[in-house]
Parts: sequence; C-alpha cells; structure tokens
Amino acid sequence: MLKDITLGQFFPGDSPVHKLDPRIKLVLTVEFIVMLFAAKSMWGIGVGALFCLISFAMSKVPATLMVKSLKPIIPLILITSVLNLFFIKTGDTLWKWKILRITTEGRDTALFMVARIILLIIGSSLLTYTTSPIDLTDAIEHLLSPLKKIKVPVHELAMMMTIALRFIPTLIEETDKIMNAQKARGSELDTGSFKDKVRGMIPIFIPLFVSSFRRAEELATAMECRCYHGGEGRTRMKQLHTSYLDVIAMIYTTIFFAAIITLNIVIK
Amino acid sequence: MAIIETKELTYVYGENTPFRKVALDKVSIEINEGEMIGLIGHTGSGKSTLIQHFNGLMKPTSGKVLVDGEDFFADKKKLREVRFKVGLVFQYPEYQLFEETVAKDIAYGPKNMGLDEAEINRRVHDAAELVGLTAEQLQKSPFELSGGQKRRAAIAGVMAMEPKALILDEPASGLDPQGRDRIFDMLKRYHTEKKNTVIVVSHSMEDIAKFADRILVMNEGSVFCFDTPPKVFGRSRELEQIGLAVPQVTRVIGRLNDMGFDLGSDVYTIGYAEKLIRARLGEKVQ
Repeated sequence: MLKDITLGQFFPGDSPVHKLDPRIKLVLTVEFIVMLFAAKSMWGIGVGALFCLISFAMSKVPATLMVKSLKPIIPLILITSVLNLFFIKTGDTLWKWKILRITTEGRDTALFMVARIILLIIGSSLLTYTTSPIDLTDAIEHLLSPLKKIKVPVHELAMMMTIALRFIPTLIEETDKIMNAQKARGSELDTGSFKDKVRGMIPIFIPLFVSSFRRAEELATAMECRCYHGGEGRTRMKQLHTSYLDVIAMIYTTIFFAAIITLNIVIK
Repeated sequence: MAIIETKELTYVYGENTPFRKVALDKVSIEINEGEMIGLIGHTGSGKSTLIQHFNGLMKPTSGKVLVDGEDFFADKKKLREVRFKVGLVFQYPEYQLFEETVAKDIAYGPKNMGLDEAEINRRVHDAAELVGLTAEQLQKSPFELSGGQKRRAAIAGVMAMEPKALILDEPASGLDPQGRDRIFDMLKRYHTEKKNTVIVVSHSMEDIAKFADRILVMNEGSVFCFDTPPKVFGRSRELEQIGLAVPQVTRVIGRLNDMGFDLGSDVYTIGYAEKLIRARLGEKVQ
C-alpha cells in the first residue's frame, strides 16, 4: 500500500527534454506559464497546446502519464467550468431552465479557462516527469543564488530539500516495516472505530519519530566527519552544463511566445 | 501434525508492471508442531516474503497457506487469530518498541488479544523471565536499555502472545558474539520449555547447524532443499554453488575427505568433527 506512493513523478529517459539543463527547463516552464496567461484568445491557447504536445511527444513520456497528472485537478476543472457556465450572464442565451442560463460568452470563457488550467498542469508536470527531484533542487539553488546577497540561506534551504527528498522513500519503507511489526502483534490498523484507529497510530508514530531522530543525528555526525560546513566554497560533483540543446529549446519556446503575442495583436 | 503448511505458494511482486518479479515460486512445505526449523537463503531468495505469508501479512498471488489446517485467507476474521497463533519477530525488532515501560510494551500483544489483567501480567513476567530481563528492567523505558536488551525485550513482546509457532527473522543480526550466543541460548531454552514450533531465519549456517531439527534452504524463490542438517550439509558442494557458506568445520572435513581421509559428509558441528578426528588418530574419545 505505502509503496504505491511515488515521490515526485520522475520518469527516467534520455530524450532531448530530459537532457536539458534543469535550470533552463525550469525557466522555460515559467515562460510557458506566462505564455498561457498572455494568450487572450482560444487561438493563443491553441498555440500553447501545440507547444505542449510537441514537447511531450519529444520527451517520450507515455501519454497515459499526461492524463494521470490531470486526475487530481478534476474537481478544480469542474468548479471552474460550472462557475463560468452559469455565472456569466452576458452574450446570447443558449439554454435556459428556471434561474439557470447558459450564454455563448459563458460557454466560451468556460472552455478557455478549462483549456488553460489543463495546459498549465500538463506543462508543469512535463518538468517534473523529465527532471529528477535532486536536479530540480539543484536548479532552484542555482536560480535563487542571487538571494544570497541579501543573506537568504539558499544553500542550506536546498540542502534541506535534498535531504528531505532523499529520506522520504527510506521513511516510507520504515513505516511499512513498523506497521507490519505492530500488525504481527495484533494491532488493528484498518478496522475498528475512529478512536481505535487513532490509538492504533501511536505504536507506529513513536518508533518512527525515534528512528527519524536517530537517523538525523547519524547523518549530522557523518556530514561533520566529512567536514561539511555549509555552502561556502563548496564545489559540486555533478556540474550543471548548458548545451546547444538548451539554446534550441530557448529559441523554440520564444518563437511560440512570439506567435501568441502576434495572435493577440492580430485578433482583436 | 503440521502447524504451517503451504501448497504451491506463489507470490509475485509488481504484477503487471515492468518491475514484475517472482519472489516465491510454487513453494510446498510442511512444518510440524514442536519443530525447530532453520530457514536459510541468500538475500532476495524469498525468505522474508515466505515468513510474512505464515501469519497473513502477505497474501499469496496463487496457492495456499494453511495454519493448523485452516486456510485463513478464506475468512477475514481468522486473519487476526492467525497473527496470535504465529508470532513473527521482524529483523531489528527493537525499532518497534514504543511504550513508556518495557513491561507495557511486552503487554501490547497480549492486550490486543483481549486477555484479562492477571493473565497479561503472568505472560509479561513469563516472557521477561524467558528472555532474561529483570523486574527492575521491566519498569524502565525501553529507550534506556542497551541494544541487546532492547532486542530481547522486543522478542519477549511476541513470546508473550504465546504463539504456537514463533518465527524470528535474523534475531541475532548486528549483535556482538556474546549477544548472539545469548539470543540463541534463549531460543533453545524457549523451545525446550514450551515445546512450540520455532522458525529462525539466518544467514549463518553455523548458528543454524547448532540447533535446527530441519533446515529449509531457499534459492531464488524456490525450495532448494528441506531436510535434516546431516542431509543438507551432505550437499555442501551444491550449497556453495548457490552462494551459501557451509559451516567452517564442514569445509575442513570436506578438504580432509578430498585428501583421502574418509570422514563422511555429514559433519557440521565441531564436537562431532573432533570425535571423528580423534578416533582416526587412534586416541580415546573422551
């Protein structure tokens, strides 16, 4: 049960999208989001969708994953479409029942909003599908490094994120083990009233906390033994490099952005 | 009579995914009441998967597991009863301790069984006595104990449920030689006193050779052999081929056999080897 939880959603591969520098990929994803908000018509959204589909196809990530990433936002999509459908009263009436009224404008706005949300999710999940969580934290650390000037502990924050990401699978495994051990002693985790269930969690949480603290202490000692002293003057084993692929990706994204702005001006 | 029986037990991890792996492949074994079984196998041979089927923590992909002749997966209510009948001690069981005092922690299992106060008390003290914890230690927080003591407290927690079969996964791993001996002596005593089935999973042939009535050797999800120690160690060549080290003394005798001393292939304890060698040298056996 617990093993089904995947951390992040990295889908390993060696497509051009995977090979992009994570920093560039992150910036381009932000650019894509801005692009979607800049689009003022369905045509603009169409261009965004095209961009999204081409990138997805290049990444060789299975289309089923694209659909899967949309699952959690289905309620959001429903609420948005219902709100826009029934509460925009301008435009020609298409359908009427008692106080409910759907207008052409309502329909168009609903479609537009829903398409935008779907593209937003697909676009940003492409980033997490093709970038490992560790690469992503590296990229964030790099991109935020100017903030060091105003004494934001960027390296420390990134290190905390990295450690957290590293230990989530370990802790999941550990929780699984502890749960099994307590089940073997007859604890009822899946049956009984709510009160029983809460009480059943104590034998799991206490050992889990104890072992987390133990691990934290061991890790801190191990890091100190290897003279870790924070970010100052620290070099990296895995350097981030930009390549010609990144230049192509930047040009490709910019062309689509330009296309959307042009469409905004042309279609009034 | 068989306490635990499996019929063509098969378990597949990650069915219908690219990571599909057959962990157990048609395992059919019978474990009798009162037996002391050693379960041995390489990492990934399916040992842990197998023992988790014995108390219903894992459900077979196909095949059957019978405890006391009953297929407990058929009836959901039985599942919990089985956990009390077949006590399972995981590897590093000390990480499951959580109560304020050792006594309370040992009482956790019996309490879940719904026993009355007096009976719980009796079982806690019985189990503590078996594993060698003092009355003073029982009132301490489990986190104040030493590593070996914690381990024994955790084992007592399962023993206190008085299961018909006690299964221990690597009960001595990570302990110093003294701690190891203590655990194995304790298990031997438990077995002779309670006459219950005990199944010990271990990497160490040496440890297992010392006490097991029968040894179950697993290899890549299948039963390699399940027999008495002399017969199992008689196949020492094959065992070495599947990457299991036979006891050192068995290897020594094997080399002596190769050199022309015909000492037999069923030697696995130092005492017996000593007897054979002394007899060969014409010395009187003491």
